[in-house]
Amino acid sequence: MTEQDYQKAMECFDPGPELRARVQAAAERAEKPRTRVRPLRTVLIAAAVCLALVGTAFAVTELADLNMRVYWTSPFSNKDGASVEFAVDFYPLDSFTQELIALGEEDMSQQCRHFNTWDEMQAFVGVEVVHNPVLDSAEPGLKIANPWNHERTTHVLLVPVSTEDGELRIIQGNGSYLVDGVQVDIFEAIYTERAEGTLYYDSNGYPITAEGYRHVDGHYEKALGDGRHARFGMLYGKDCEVTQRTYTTPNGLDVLIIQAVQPASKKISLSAHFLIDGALFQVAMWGNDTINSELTPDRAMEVLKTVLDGFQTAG
Amino acid sequence: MTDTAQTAALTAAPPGFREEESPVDGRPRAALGFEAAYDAYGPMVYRLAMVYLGRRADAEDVTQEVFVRLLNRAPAFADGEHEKRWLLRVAVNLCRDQLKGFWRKRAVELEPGLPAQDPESLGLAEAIVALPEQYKGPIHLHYCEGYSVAEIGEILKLGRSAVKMRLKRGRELLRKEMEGQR
Repeated sequence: MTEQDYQKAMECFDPGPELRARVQAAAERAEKPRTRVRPLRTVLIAAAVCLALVGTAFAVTELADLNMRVYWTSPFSNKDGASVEFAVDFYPLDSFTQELIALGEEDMSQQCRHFNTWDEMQAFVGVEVVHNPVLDSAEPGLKIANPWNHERTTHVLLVPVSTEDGELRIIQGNGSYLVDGVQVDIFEAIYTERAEGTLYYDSNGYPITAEGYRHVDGHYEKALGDGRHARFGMLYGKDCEVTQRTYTTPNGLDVLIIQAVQPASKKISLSAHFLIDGALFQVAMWGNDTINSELTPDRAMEVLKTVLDGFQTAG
Repeated sequence: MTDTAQTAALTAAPPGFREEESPVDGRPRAALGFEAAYDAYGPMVYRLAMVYLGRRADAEDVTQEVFVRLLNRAPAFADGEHEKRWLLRVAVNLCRDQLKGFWRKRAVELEPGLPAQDPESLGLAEAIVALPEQYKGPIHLHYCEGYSVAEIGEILKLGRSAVKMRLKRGRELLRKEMEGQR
């Protein structure tokens, strides 16, 4: 392969004039006067689901279909999405296994671990936050790709995030299941003591340090907030009908459920958000042309409640 | 690299750039105006993002974000090359952020609908996108941007031996993939 071969191949990737116009518009919006950041509120603010769009950082013009994309993010302020916020617990580092602690020092591309079951992952982590017989008996869903090597896939993926000193800040678990024929995704985030006070978010929705900035209404604000809340954002695409409700499972789990329906296609996205022992969870399902293509709102809610009712806290 | 390290990489002055050269009015600035900067570097950033992410929508998001950051968070640049390397570094960080995200958890294949190219170029593009992440940066910066091992090491914050190793393995993987396509 020569440089010429490579550069010729790169001609496949032409940004086109539309992107230039989009970027210019975003840059102009970003130059407007800064807006004041609202102080974060207390527990489960979230419940503050705002119908919203994430400023300019992630335009949703490409999301013709209902395509839930989840970010930890700055608060939404417009249409097309929803954000939720929870006061999480910060686990002491000695809560975790030495194996997991050692992972924090690895290069980020080497940190992910694959498992066959959620229980296997919890045993590796050392914090058994949850048990769910419904998921234990469910078939594996679509495989999850290792973010550093898409050829490596699994049904349960552990993605640690560590500090520059190699200490774990966030332990993310991802699971993929087929529950009664419906593709269901589980996400878990356990925050360590090293994350406390640093839960600020960049425009990609990633937690950054207190010295960082976050993207608010098209501008970067110096990071503010109390550093104790974790926030999720979902982008649904334009004109979606977004509704929220609360639900309490028979085991006493308080859950916030967000549903979005694309009026034209009737495609649905359903996500449930909750804390178990201070760890953040999301259970999600959505339909597109290939995944859950026949999923109706009633069917989605039925399956969601089946999964939620299965969650039992370890304690 | 960790998330905080990435943030530091975005906010710290690059090598050879003195802190006191930062703008004193708190307003960062680009070496070029937006239009000139986009025309000079927009396609470069987009192609790098496509190599890392393989999806047009994601690459566009990253490109947009890179230039918004250029306006809002960039240090004062010593020259165009300094600005170019800063943009490449920010783009790599943002791509890696995207790759970390759990919404990207399903296998990604290069989307259809690429502009018509000869089969060999298209095959090479697909092979590049399919490379493991750690090889993409060194390969792309070397073959597309013409950077040396030392320069790639500065941009990606890697040691020279790591860059050499990744270039070697990346080349081998591409060669095998291209031989398999014939």
